Amino acid sequence: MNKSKGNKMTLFLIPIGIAVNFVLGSIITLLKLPLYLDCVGTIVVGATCGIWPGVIVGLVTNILNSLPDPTILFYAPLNMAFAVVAAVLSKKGWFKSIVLTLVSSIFFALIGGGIGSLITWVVYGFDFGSGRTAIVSVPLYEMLHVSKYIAQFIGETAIDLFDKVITVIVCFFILKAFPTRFLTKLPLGHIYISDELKKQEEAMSKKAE
Amino acid sequence: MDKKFAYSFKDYPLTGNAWNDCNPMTKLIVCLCAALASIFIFNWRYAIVAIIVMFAFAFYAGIGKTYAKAMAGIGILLLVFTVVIRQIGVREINHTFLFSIFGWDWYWESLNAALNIVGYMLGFAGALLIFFMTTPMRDIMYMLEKKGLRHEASYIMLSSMQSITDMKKSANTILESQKARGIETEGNLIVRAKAFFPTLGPIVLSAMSGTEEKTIAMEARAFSYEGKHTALRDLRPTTKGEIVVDVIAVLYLIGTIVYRVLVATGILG
Repeated sequence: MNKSKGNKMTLFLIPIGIAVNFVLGSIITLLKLPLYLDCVGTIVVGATCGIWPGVIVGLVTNILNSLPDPTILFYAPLNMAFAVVAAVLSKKGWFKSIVLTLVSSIFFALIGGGIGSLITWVVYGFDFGSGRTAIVSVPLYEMLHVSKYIAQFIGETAIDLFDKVITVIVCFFILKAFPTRFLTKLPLGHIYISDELKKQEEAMSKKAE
Repeated sequence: MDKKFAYSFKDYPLTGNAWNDCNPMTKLIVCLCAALASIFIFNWRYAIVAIIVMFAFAFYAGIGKTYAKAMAGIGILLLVFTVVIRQIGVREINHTFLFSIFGWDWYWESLNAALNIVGYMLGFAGALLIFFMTTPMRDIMYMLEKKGLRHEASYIMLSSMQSITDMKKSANTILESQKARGIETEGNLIVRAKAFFPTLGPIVLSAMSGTEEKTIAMEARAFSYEGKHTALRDLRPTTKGEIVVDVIAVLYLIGTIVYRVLVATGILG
């Protein structure tokens, strides 16, 4: 009974995760900040509900994103990979401490840069892609004479890292702000509850003294 | 009560336009075959013909203007970036000199490679755009549900689209009220960044609390019921003519794959 209720909560959280992915982007545009923050919802759902719900959030976000521009569809594996990483790191309790959370941004950036540049590599006929990363990677290729793929990879990872650091910080605070009452109903919620409960118990015992 | 309105749900929702009235499945098969064919042929000469045909289709389906805008939005940036970057990046294969702009030499091989990339991407994007622009999402999901997809999937897709519009509205409201409270949203980068977190918190948390209420409300309306669900609107089943069109589209796709294999093995061209 408890489990099926938990699954239903996950189901209803998925659309919220997708909407968060979109809406953060629009707030960023309103405030004119130089960021993307397009996978906060994916990471949060991955961290609290597990791999599959996170993957669904990533996939549907990508499909809805690609409605005005279907070429984005090629990048669907990227957002899905973020969900897998988020779920795995969450199970290890990484998102409970701010230091480990910041470290996790390196993983996200490497995956974003690695898979992202691999997809660009294949989609653009095994050569440089177009768009923002080319601004970094083409000069890199010219100056350092590394291979084109390495140049593309470095360019994409470097741009991604800054964005992912902010992303994981936002995720960290969202996870912190989750009410315990809500976390109990989510599959991976128990990871974040135990500490909360300990703190509450300590506070209670202090009051009793 | 207006009987005409009530009875309008007894018939299939038809518009009189042969393409728009097709079953979503037919549209999906035709558009997907066209999109994949562009990838397999991978030639800008083919892409130009394909895009002209797609535009004719779009104007016939009555979405010409929005379609042209969307295609221009994707195409112009892609074209400029790819052509310029190929001229800088691809040098090994260059030997047909075209012209020179202020000492910057342009070569045919690079240009050809760039046009092929842009061509297949626009061919791919254009075909899918026609599908998404002429088929409402609720029809797509209902069609997939009829083919055996779980109704939860439809819920996720349709609810997400609704949640996005709802949350965008609430984001605007919250940003306005935070402004009224005294938070600055204009100014230099740090000032604007400071306004981000006070806006983010209320949006995410209110959405979370809404989720719990939604769960209870949906459960009270038998959302988890495992039996057959009913629908207010029904889609017209695939007609015989549509099946013929599907078969032609699939055969065409197979033809392009055969063409690609023959080219790759060196038998053709």
